Amino acid sequence: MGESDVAELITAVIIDDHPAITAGVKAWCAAATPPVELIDADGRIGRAWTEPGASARVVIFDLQLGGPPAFRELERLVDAGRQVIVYSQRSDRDTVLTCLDLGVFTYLTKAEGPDHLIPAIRAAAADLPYTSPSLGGAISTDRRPSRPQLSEREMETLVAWFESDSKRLVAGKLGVSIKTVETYIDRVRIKYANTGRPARTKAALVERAIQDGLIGMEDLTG
Amino acid sequence: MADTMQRMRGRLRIAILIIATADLTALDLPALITHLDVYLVAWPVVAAYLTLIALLATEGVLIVRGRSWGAWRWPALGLTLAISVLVNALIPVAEVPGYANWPIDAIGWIAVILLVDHHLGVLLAVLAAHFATNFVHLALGGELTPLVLINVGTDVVTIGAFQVTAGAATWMCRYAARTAARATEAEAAVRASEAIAARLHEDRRRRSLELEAEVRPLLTGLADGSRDPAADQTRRDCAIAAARMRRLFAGIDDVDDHLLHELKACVDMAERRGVLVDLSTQGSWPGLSLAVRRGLTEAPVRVLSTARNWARVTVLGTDSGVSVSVVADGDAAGIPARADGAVMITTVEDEDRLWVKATWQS
Repeated sequence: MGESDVAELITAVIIDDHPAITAGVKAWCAAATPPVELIDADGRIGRAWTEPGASARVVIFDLQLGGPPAFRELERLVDAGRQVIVYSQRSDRDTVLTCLDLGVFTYLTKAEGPDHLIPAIRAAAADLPYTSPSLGGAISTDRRPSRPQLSEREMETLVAWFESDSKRLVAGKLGVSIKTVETYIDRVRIKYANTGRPARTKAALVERAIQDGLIGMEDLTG
Repeated sequence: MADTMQRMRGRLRIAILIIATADLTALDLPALITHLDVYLVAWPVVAAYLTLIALLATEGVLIVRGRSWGAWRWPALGLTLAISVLVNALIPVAEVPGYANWPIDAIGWIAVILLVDHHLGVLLAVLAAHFATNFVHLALGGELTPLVLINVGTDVVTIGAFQVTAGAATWMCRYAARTAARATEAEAAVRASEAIAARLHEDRRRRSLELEAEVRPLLTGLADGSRDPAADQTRRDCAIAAARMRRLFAGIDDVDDHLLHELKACVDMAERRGVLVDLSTQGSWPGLSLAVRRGLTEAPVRVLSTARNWARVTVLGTDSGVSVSVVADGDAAGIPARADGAVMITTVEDEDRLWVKATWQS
């Protein structure tokens, strides 16, 4: 991903009702280079709408704040153009795909640690796609008729990414470069951004991908 | 379930057979014998009677063997209606309202027997055709006088009423049996799901208690300072306990699934050895045979058992099949390329990491 895009200090706000998670994420953000500034919303969604949370570039959102999945609140954040990373203990396909369709930036499960969360925050700030292995797994088992058409190679890559959690292992298995692996995974993410419910965040992702030549218009319309 | 229906149908058939046999032997046989001189030709009428008795005997055998007429019911029904026409043709038209016309009730009972599993409408149509034969006979013979019409009409109404009632009763019993069978089935399904839920609940409770037994000393140790949060071992133990708790909360095990159950047991074992295991599942898979499950788990479990510090286990169910994959800092020795149940094994090694995947194509 382009280093120049993320030179400025990124601020993220975390909405999670478990203090231990918040403390852990705070420690990861502080240890990152360059560090990420983290605002603790203390489990309250309202704090993402008021300063300092309102101007945070990225929202880290625990889907379940002591109740059923907060899809409505998530939708409102996305509609306001916020880059939302869902960070949840849920890993079931329907929940993941629903979030994706609502227009979240990416979906991580709590089993996915700083190795995924920090790069995801940076990618979100730069409008670059980020697909976690768990998101890859959910997409690879998507059976909805509205799903975008994926090539066989894209599907293989996605499955291998879910299974191995290592782009190097995927590259080794499929006999391609790590860069190619990343391209396949990102193209799938863009295809998903280009389907379903329209959202500003999705459009930004697609626009950036086309600018960077990651995907052509013909791949999205075909 | 289907048993209830089977039993009820069997008893209904016996009841109708008894009625029909009583009718043919106690009423129709004396009528036939005392009117042998009336028929234009007697022997075909006797043969017709014996044929109907033969049909009754067949029904008796079928009931004993617990079988139905199947496709044979239609030729048998055709034969019965043919007898209706034949005997009518051999009775002088003046005798149609009298005892010589014994088939006027006998035919209907045979029809009730043959159509016991069928819609009431079919029986009504057959009875109508049979009774119509009598009226046609009267009309052709120019005997359609009011008195005769009343005589035969009374016969038709009384006989028909019995037979239609019997047919309707079988139909209603069948309906009741079907409803009862459905209710029994629904009840069994509810009971089964309750049993599964209770078992899962019990399982969760047990695991939660086990987990508590593991987590409590860890937390107490951290609180009273006997365990150092900076120590690698403490961090490891905490990470493993956290992974187990996450799995418990995520409800991955809430599915009554043998494959996952078996894998979970192996993951548990690895965790007890101090290996940090990340278990992820995605998609769904059908109930798999023992051979396929063994094939899918054998190689991954072997890797899991050689993992030194960490392992990632994934189960993926797609339209084309199921795969179990393990990435770990383990040992590749002795991993075969094929396993039980036509399962394919692929192995990728990369420095200190080993990736073994077992795939079963459905």
